[in-house]
Amino acid sequence: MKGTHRGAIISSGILLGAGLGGFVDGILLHQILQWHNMLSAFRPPTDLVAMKYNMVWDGLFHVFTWLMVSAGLWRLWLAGKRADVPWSTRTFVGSLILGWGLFNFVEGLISHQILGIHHVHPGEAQLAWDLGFLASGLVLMGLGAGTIRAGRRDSTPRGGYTLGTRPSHA
Amino acid sequence: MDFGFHLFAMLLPLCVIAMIAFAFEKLASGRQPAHVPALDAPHSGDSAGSERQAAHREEPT
Repeated sequence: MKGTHRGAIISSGILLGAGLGGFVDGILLHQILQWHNMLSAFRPPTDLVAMKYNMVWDGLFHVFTWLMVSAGLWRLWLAGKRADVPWSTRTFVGSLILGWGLFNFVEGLISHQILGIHHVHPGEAQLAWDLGFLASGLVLMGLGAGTIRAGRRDSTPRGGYTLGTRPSHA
Repeated sequence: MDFGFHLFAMLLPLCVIAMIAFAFEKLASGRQPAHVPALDAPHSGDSAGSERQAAHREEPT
């Protein structure tokens, strides 16, 4: 074996974390709390037609977050078939957290600040909510990057035992 | 017109994140610290490793 490729785990984790973070946003903020919808700044859901319009776009958003989760799962499956990918829990969990943070930060920056298609909690304090959402992204990104870094020396192959040790059941 | 812009606005963050994910893959691969032993343990698809594991099991204790 010439080298290790933990990048395959990291990209899988980021895709999965971002997709699951998108589901948290869509399910919690769009549906359960009903703070905003995908296009609620363009077309506020003040009547049934506008609600249905936003509902369609919320559904499309969930379609693409579902595709992102599927892509992450597929890449994780491919990574699991490779002998040169260290099967590190810290790397994977850190990547999930990093992906969630990336979703909050990138989506917050583009959708809330640059394009303004919706805000986290519209109203007088919407800027504070938007900045808090961005801050949550930065915190999660830092936490994820730290966890990935903590696992940078992990070399456990898939199967759960390290080189030179014998599994107890063997 | 509106549909195109709305679709663009919805997809842009997700595409940026996907690009960042693949950039991380390129950056992180092959940058394992030098003192970490290379992975060469028994693994599905690693026939050499499987042979070594089988030989290891057959050693008298």
